[in-house]
Amino acid sequence: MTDDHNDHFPSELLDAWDVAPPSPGLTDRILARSADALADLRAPSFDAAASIDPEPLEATAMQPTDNVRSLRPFLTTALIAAAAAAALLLAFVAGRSTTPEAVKPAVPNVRIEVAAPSPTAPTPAPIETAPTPEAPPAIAPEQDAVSPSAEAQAAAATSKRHAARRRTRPTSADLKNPFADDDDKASPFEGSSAPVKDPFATDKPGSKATGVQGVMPSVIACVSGTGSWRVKTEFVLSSTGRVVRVRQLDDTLSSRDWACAEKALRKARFEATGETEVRDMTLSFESAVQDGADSKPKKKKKTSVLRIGTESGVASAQVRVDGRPMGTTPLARVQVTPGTHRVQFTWPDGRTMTKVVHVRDGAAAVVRGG
Amino acid sequence: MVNAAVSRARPPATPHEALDRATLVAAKRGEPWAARRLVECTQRSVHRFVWRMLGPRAHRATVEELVQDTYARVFRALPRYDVDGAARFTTWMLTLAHRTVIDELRRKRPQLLPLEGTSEGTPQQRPDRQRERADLGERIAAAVEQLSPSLRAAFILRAYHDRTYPEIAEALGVDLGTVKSRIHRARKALMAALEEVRHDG
Repeated sequence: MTDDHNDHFPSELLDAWDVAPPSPGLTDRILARSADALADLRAPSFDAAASIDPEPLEATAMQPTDNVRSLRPFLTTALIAAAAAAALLLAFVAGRSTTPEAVKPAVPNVRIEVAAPSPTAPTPAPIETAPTPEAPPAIAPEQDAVSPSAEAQAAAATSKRHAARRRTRPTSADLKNPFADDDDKASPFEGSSAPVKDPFATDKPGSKATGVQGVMPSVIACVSGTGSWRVKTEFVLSSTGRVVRVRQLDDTLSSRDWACAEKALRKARFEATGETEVRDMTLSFESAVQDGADSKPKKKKKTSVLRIGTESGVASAQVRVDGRPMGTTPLARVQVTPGTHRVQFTWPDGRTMTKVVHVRDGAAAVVRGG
Repeated sequence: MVNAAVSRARPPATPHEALDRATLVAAKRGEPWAARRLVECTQRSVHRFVWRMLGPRAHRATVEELVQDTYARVFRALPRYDVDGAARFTTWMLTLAHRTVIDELRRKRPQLLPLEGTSEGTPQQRPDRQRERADLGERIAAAVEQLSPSLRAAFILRAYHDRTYPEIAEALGVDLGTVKSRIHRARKALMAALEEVRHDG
């Protein structure tokens, strides 16, 4: 069978279908659009380089531009490798704080130290506690009060190193523990019958505390976690136990962890403010997390289904369930909580209709607008 | 109008359309002069093919956009084209043009715009004859538009680009029998659609 077999078609019909000629500048636009592809054609590839016949060196001496072009694949490979290495490094660094162990420590304890700044100190400095690899034992108040323990010294040394790194934050060694018995000053919580004035209530904390008699210094609580849960957080409590300032020194905590830690501290503040001999307490982080979880209202599960549509012959409508846009009808399956819901239909012409439907747990209800 | 059997023999290549081997080899190396000559020699064919594939929806801006896309594909794929191979370069290029148009048709429905002034090379005709011819062209375009893209491509390549059946099979990536079937079905459908015109003529 030849090509022309059955090739019967009126040529007049074919010829009548003319097309417009290309624009005069089409060639230039085509070449401009294809500039990248043409540049790639000019750049030698590995295969092209391999297929070149060997020639004398002087004949194959490349110009600098040719040299750069020939190095392009190598440079590209090197760049990709460098980017991959950087991504791996970033993932490793991020993984140290985002691993599951970091979110939930193996030894989930929160250690809260409560102290007060020196009344003469113009600005209350934080007490920093180095994270310990294991759960810190509850330090007996008597031990800590009589003399600084080796652990406290180690903590102070660690704090010095941290402060040296930051160079902006004072170390714990700069602080005087007002609760220590070897300090001549009495505890600020003892016998303070003078009217209490919170220096942190002002914009310049501590500025009014200097030299002012009877001013109750606020309590600074430094919360540190253990293990990989490294928290360095300053809570500044007023003498009434109110948290007047919170400063998170380490941003590795999620907002939920942060809220739980704060909640745990608030639970302890009453003891901290009411009982002056309590200076070190160990709280269970897990219990704090549980408390935080319990404090949140539990969401109802969406165990019911609404099937929303319009009557036959009625145009599709935009649907809102309880004010939340759900889409356009037909909606085969809208998961809702058991109970009463308000379904609103809005048609393109502006007409609206609202239906209230009650659906039981696990049941499905059909709502039709129109 | 006469329903005559037309044997559409391949017209001889004009000097303008001649694309010699040296030019193709130079174009594969990315020589600018060769690329320009390649475009100048082939763009009318690609332009017509794209225009007719789009049918009545063809608009100058859309067609030229697709032509540019086609040539961008051509130059990217040029290293894979075998100059000494069996396939004609223009057929290979129409393959890429066909894929570009199919991609466009799948991506979105082109805007319904009227055909622009498509009178090409008939300035000496009377205005009434020109109008009559334009109407006829629009009816043909509308009839071709009714064909599926696969039938349309086979018919246009055969009727307007004078490709042989094997060339069409290669361009569309189908068997030779499929090409014959498609062209036959396309022709039959067009004859039925244009029955009124043929009898009026």
